[in-house]
Amino acid sequence: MQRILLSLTCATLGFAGTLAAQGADGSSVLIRAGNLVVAPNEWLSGADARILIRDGKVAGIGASIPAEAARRARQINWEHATVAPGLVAVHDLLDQGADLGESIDAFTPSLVTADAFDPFGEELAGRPRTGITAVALAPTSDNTFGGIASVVQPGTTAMGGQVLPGLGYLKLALVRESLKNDRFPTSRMGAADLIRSAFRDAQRPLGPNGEGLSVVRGALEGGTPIAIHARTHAELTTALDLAAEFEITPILLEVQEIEDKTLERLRGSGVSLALAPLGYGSTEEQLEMPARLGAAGVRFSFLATRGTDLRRAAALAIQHGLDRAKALAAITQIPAEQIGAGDRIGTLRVGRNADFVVMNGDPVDLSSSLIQVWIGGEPVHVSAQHGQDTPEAAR
Amino acid sequence: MDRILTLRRATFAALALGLAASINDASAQEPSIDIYFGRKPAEYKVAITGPDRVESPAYAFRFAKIIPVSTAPIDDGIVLTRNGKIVALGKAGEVAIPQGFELVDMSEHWCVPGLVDLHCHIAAKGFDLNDTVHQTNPEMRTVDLVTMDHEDMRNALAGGVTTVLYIPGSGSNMGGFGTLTKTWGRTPQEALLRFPGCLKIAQAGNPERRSGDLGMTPLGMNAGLRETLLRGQAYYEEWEAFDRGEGPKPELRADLEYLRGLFRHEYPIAVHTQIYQVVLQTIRQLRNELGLWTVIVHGTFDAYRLSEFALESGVPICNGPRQYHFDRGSGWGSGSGMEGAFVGTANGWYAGGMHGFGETQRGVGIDGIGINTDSPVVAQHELTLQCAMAVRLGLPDAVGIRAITLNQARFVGVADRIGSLEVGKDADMGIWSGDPIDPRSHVEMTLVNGNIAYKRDPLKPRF
Repeated sequence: MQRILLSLTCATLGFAGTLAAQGADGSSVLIRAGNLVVAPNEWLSGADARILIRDGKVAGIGASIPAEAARRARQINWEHATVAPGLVAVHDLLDQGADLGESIDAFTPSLVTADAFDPFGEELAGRPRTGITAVALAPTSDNTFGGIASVVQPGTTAMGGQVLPGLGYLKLALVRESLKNDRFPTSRMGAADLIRSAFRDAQRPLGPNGEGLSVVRGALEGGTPIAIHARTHAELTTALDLAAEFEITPILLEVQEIEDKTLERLRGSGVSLALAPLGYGSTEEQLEMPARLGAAGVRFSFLATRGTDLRRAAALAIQHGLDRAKALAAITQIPAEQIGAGDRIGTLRVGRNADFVVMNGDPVDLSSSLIQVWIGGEPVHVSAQHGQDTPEAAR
Repeated sequence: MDRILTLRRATFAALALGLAASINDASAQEPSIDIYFGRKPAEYKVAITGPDRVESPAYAFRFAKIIPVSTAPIDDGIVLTRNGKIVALGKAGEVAIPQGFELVDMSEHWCVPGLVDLHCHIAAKGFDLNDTVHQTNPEMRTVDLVTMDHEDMRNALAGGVTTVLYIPGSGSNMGGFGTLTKTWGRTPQEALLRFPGCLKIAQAGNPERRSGDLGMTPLGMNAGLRETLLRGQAYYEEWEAFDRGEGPKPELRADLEYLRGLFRHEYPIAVHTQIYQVVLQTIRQLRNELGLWTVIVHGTFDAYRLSEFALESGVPICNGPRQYHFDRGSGWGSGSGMEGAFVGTANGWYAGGMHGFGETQRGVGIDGIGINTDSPVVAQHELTLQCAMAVRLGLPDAVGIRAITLNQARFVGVADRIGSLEVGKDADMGIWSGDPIDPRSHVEMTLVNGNIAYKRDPLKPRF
């Protein structure tokens, strides 16, 4: 695994340099906003709602921006708008499902979705139109051990998207579609056995063809997050049993139902959730689940099947009792942390990537609309509704 | 991503000026592409090469026109050959013909270097080189199959083709190791130029399977390739450590030994890869991630959209077997007037263009493009017809002849032996009734290692 990750990292370093070089022509940008959402529970407003961007990163926020640096930067005036972190999708297939499922073998942990990433895909290019600036491109749920979900971003130009190196998670699945009639496992019992065996084998000396197990070992040792697709109560229970047995804190994907006893198990366990997207067809129980989890202190995000689901899920959860900051966290900061990228994206603290949305209101209010979306300090989406012009402030 | 995003704008005008100059005097120009060869090793430790010297008579040819490719054409020229090599070359009257050289008067014919094809499956009888049970087959080798005496090879000679890279088929991701061989020799050993000539890798399309191992999708295929290559790299590192006196002598592994030579950069990977997303994966994984010397030996459909990425990565393109692409509107970009056009893929790679990206992509240029037949997909002797099609669809004439001779020799690291007519190089020559890229021309005679390997029978011409 070290070897695989190392080589993947080397492959993508070139890109990271490129990203940095995007704004490296010496120019920096100072944006004045009505509200600056640094993190879901950290809003700056009025004169403090300023963000300085340099070399694709957040170089300063609020009162801490040196006057000289602020004066020399290109000035953009969005004083009637809210600037907030870009949305993050914790699990996305980007309509590439046909390229992301090696269902012939249930145990394929060493597959890496970056290998099949289409940087020119239309789905990817469309994500910023819904405020999404990063997604984890997941393997399908055809396999018990599907592989590594790589973190990708839409492109900063018409040239296509990019992989963020060294991030992502190992995806496991307990859901029905991971069980096949023509190969092991055919049941949840078999899937649990496969996971348990692999977790045990990964802790023993590896044989000559141990690439897959070495990936599992890396995840068990905490180097790579583990996500388990567990939709139903039964699947969730199996996932929690395995998590307790092997002392891991996975992300549980697409959870649709949680009983009170399960909520007690989750409380304080370190396990986090990515909830099935809420919609107008969701049951009352599903709509109220975020507020229950929030009150219990369980960390969760929303996953998206379509880009627009993220803001809609957050708004519906608020409507059903969830705290606004937790709703915003569930589509920005928490998914960023879940995919191992919390120190890079998901908030607008100094040093983070300058990935943000500019909106004419609160991001979790469905009546607000996007004005622009930036990735790496460059605009990637300019709303037709709000015009092409970036309001340059008078010097 | 990678370097695709950091496009340097280049105008067609600048490219065209550079081209005009380089066609007149190619040697005076900076190469249009800095091909990545890795660290060129001082010696082969894994690869083997054929004989340095091959017996051949002393001939003095006189031609109407000589196209050495590496230097300017010569009208009314002389070429002297002996013992497999070119010993003199120049204008008639300026080259003295020594005693003992047999004069061969071809003064109505053109002489060009023997043609080179880096994507060939016919150096043995029958298309018998797809072993598709396993996805990666690093122990397979085509060198065992090469036979000289069969119709396909005689046809190759009758088409002026004198060197081929004989590679496994694309039925698995890693088909095995290819052989660089002449198309004529008294024995396969005499014909051998180098083995391995390359590692053959095929991505997407052909090797997709559902047969019991991974490879239904790019995800599984690329993971399998990586695993096998990384095993080879680990084995290579064990041997390097031993050679430095820092480790025990490794056990010889037949399945990894040739991968060791690959990581020593003794030979390249020839990759069957096509469609821009797949070619992107190829260049990223093999060239940029693993640092391997990589040559694309397919590159069709809309893969030419990546011309600048290939250029920046130092990956040359041997384009074929298809020479055209029905562009569905994105190929040359909006505003170019070429939407929906029938696009020449070799020219797309060579010249670059808009390619739908909104910014001009630079092309790989005169030194970065080759043309192949994928014989028998296109018959081996139709290499010049492939080239004619590429030229018909935009590739400049003078680039065309380089694309089927010197460029391909350079791509695989044997330009010191073949690819152009120069003193000291192998006497591999096609003697044509006229311009070889004109489909009306035919081969009158073909020389391999200074021996007349083919002579056209005017009463029963093969072609």
